[in-house]
Amino acid sequence: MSAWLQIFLDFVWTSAGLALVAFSLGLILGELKIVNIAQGDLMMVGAYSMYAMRTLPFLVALVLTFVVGLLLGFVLERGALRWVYDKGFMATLLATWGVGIVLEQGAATIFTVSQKGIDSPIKGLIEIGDVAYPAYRVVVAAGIIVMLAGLLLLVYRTSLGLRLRASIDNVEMAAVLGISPQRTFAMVFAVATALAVLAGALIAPTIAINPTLGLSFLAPAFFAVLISKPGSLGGPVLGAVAVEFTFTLLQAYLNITVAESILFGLLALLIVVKPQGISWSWTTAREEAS
Amino acid sequence: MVETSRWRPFGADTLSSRPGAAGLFNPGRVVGLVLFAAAALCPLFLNEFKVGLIGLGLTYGLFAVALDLAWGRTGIISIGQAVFFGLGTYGVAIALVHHGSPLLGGAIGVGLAAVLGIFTAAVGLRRATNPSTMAVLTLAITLLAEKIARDWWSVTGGSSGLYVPPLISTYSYYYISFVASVGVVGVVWLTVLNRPLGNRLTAIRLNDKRAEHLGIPIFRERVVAFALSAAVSAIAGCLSAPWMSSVSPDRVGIVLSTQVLVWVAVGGKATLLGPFVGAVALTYGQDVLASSMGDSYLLLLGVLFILSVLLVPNGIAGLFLTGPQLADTTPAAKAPAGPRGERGGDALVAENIVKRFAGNIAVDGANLQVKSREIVCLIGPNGAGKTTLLNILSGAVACDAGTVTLCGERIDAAPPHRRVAAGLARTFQIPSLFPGLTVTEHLILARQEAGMVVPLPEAYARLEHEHAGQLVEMLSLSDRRSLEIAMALCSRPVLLLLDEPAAGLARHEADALAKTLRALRDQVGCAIICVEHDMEIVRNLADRVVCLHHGRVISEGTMAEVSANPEVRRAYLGLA
Repeated sequence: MSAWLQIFLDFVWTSAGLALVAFSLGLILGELKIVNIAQGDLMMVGAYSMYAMRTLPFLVALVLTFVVGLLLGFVLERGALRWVYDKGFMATLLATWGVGIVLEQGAATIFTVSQKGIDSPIKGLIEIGDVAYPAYRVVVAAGIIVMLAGLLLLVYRTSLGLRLRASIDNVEMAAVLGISPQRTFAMVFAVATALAVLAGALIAPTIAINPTLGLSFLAPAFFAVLISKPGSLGGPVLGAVAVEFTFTLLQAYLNITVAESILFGLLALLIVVKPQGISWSWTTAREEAS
Repeated sequence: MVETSRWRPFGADTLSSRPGAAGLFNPGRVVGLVLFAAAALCPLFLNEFKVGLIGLGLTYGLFAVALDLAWGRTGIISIGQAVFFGLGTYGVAIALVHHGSPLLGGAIGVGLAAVLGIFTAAVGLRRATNPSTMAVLTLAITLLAEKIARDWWSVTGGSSGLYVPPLISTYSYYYISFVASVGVVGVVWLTVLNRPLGNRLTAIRLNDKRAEHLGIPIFRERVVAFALSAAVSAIAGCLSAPWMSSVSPDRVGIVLSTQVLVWVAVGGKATLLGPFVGAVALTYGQDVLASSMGDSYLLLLGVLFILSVLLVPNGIAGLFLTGPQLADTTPAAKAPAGPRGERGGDALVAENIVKRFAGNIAVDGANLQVKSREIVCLIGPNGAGKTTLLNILSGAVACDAGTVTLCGERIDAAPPHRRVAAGLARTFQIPSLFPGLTVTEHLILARQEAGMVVPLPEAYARLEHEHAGQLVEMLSLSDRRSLEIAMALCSRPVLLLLDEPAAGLARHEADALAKTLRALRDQVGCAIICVEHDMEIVRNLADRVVCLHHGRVISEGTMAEVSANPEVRRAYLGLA
């Protein structure tokens, strides 16, 4: 029993982090129509930012890292990405690829490639059932779930969210209604970048920090986005949970590389069956079924 | 996955036609010959270490050309190309470690790469998939392959990799690498790129919708291109194995996948020379500069990559080599004007066509019958379902119910290119052409797909005489529409579908259009379905008028009959 509880807690912890990254990725794909391959490297920036500020109190460093993320996103969008919007899908994809290389190599140049680590601000274990689980993970997972719930409420229940969804649906039409594409693009990319950076910052105390740490999150985050409808913002969050759930189950029985291979095979199968992704919305699913 | 380049009608910054680059001494060929000689002679001047570096660079050059087959030529993105390269490298290395034949090991690697390439493309390039799917799939494959190579140590030697003993002397192997790399590129050029298949790949990259409606099976050709790209990548991998003292998981991994993208992007896409030069120069530079600059060399490479994507999207070679060019594949076979298989009866029968878009019914049980050589004009208020019906007939949109029969052959389940083969041709409301190609090149493509040359009616043959070498971006709207019709006529269609051929034309051009199209029908003998809003043209053009409203046919007959129909009047005037 306790073995399964342990697996379940691990699943909650990993899927919370992945959901945040996938939400950010889905936001960028939805609004800017860009496949952001630098997503993992943005997480890496978050982890290194926390490492650089390891002498400051954790929460202060976290807030500063979020601000670093906002600035980084703004600079990247205004400085590089906006020049390639009209050059097509492939150019934007390659531009983010280039940004990723520069971030990775920049980190390697500044911090060297040797592994770094930071201390967890909350030490100790929490007794859950008969499992003692690291308190930091419980607190962070809860925090991320609350934050994502807030973000989704913001997206689906406020006028700001309505403007965002209008812009995602049809950027030209939204522009006619007074929603500036330039400002929305810059804002969305800055916020999405900050969220990815934040995700990296939050997991930093639990991993070994190195310039390529983002790579291992890249594929699952893309899977999460790929299996949800294009432009959906709630979809990637549920997609992340689905991917992590499947992966956790596979991993419980199999070697990790075999589990990943099977996950990839399942994804390929899903693309064949549902090339447009899964609609996680109950109403559209019913419409499709009828 | 098609690159959309911005359509610039009358753009002052584009050349009206490309400078003739086909001569024997164009800059590309001169530079190519000089570099070829330099590569052939360099072992005479360089030490063994540097010769080895350039030898490795040449195999990387072949790898870059392989990626370019998919990316630069066909427009398929692959950000995990090293998987295929690595299959070849590991094939040779595993064979050598077990004292087997490196040729057999390499061949197995190449075969596996081709199969994996077919599988990946067949999943990721299907009609309804999003363009990002292929990027994610290839990325996931390369990350996964690196893990497997690291984990499966009994076969791959794990993280430390497999030790490959040197086979023969550096100098001998240099010449083997050189001849093999250049030779494979030559074979690819002669058998694919300079042939109809190469033209098809270019057409798919520039405008897949138009390519499909010219009769090109775009899914199949994309899969072929990607599988070929995977196989050639694996051949490059085989050749490179003896240059490496150890074959380790990074041979299939993301870093090499990234590097090959940089080589192609910086060197120049859709050229033969660009990827080669990019690969050799950056491989050489990496070793020479990395020792002094360390990680900042890779940082520099990243910056270089971003700059080349932002500023020189066609790479260095693209700066002095001119844009896409097609091989002249004009078929020798000539055919008389007139539709294939002269026959009476019905050209097209469409029955009970239904199409819903998310609950909104666009076409609601429409019936349409067109006799051979008949001109039918489809009218109806905006939103009546005219263009949707046309899209269903041409196969651009699949219908939810109903049957479509062309000359007695059921075509409702066939993809667009099969319908072209069955005798259908179409134009679009906004002319859909290949940006960056000339008028002549458009006709080369159309004739290549038709497999023959038919004489064009004078109104369309004029284009070929007056604007032959002009880029289509420079043509007037009416000329672009004419070019689309001319391309459609090349296939000797039984039925021609025209979507608002008069929209945006000047009054005198529109007036001439009805006459031109009737003359075309008399001369070519095809039936025509024409969606048109201009009632003056409909009156002069149509043998029969069909009026659609809310996705149903509400009236058909002569113009006078239809315009007298009270239901039609209600539909147009909005009376209850």
